Amino acid sequence: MSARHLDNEELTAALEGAPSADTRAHLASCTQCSRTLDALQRAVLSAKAAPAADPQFLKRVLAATAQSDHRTTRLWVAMGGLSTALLLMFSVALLRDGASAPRGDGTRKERVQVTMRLVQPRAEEVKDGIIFSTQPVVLSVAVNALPGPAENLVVFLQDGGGRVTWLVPQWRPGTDPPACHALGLEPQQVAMTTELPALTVGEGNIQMARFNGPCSIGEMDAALEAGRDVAGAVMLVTFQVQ
Amino acid sequence: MALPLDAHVPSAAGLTGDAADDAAMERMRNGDRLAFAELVRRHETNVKRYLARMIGPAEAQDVAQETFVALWTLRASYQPQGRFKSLLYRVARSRAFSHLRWRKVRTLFAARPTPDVTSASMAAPADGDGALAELLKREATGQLNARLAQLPADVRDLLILKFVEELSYAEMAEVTGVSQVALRSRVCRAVGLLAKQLEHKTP
Repeated sequence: MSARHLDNEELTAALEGAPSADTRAHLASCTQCSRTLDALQRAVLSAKAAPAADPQFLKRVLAATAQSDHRTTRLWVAMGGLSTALLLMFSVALLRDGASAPRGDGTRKERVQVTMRLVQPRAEEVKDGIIFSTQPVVLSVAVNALPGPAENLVVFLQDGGGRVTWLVPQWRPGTDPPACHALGLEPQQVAMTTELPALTVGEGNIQMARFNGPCSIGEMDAALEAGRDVAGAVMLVTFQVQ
Repeated sequence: MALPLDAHVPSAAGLTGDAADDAAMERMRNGDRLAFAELVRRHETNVKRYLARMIGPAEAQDVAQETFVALWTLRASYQPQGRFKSLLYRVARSRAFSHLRWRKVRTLFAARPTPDVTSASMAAPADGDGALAELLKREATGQLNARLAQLPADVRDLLILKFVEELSYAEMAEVTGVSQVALRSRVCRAVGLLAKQLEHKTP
């Protein structure tokens, strides 16, 4: 052992405080290795020196977390805005595809805009960099329509379990179903607010259907809950929650 | 919520170490900021020391703050399996390396290079009769830390985690994402590099 000096492995074991018997014997007789180990131990010891105390550190951290929570909320709202933009673009694209529907008297413009705004006061979960809500979401839907006489429009959400939530017009089962939203000749706006279950990727399907003739919310609800097609729908646009 | 910042926040009764950390994280999931304050107090020194050795004491304060804020945002996804320490160092390490990358870029574009403050002494200013002895001690400590600071960041990282923060190889594997076998080999190599550094620079 004394013919050579300690290798890295033996030095490491000694630095960890677990030298072998051979290493201990070598260190007792080899000044150079003993000095090397001593220098290593002093370096480690000096690095262990505690940083200077900062009594304001905790206060600053707590203030920063409060700011972070605020930013997270704003980020969630911004994400909602981004989703809205994507949904809107998606809907416009699909509606243009659907413009092959019969054009009435030639003055009609086949254009329907649906804007949705998600307002989430608290964002609780972060998974894979995406923030999800564990609280009910307020969804504000505005429909601007240029026109379609005798046309009706409905917007609803159907979750993975088939449960339908009516958004336009707003309706909760147990009460008399309202009439479908009639599209007129002038631009219209329908703004409403509803509470949705927490939105997660793939879980919520926001759908929009248009009808050339009358439609019945009650019949549609029954058909959707039973998993049947919606009779009379000219176009059914599905928005998948991203 | 107003917090009594000066008050001592006791940890959960009968719990110590990992169990107390897990219990605090569990309470944090429900938005308990007192539990968070308890964790910050318990680990502040270690996180700051680790960061000071990695990026320098001047910037360690800010990055330590970022580390704890990140910990707060991660509270919902934390699984209490006695691995809080690994999570804490993983976050701190990630911040430290990000900071080093940012510093490298900043230095490239700066007129004057950013001074490497890693080696600066962290001890509080001395006063009284022991001032000279304290000064000499600080100088010696500063020199040793300077030698540590001259090692590459990945080498320094392993040495600090292993010998300064005294993490086990299992914990280091969780922090770095490297296998324990590979870590043992790398730590041995890092010790060899530090030994050479000390040998060459020893007066």
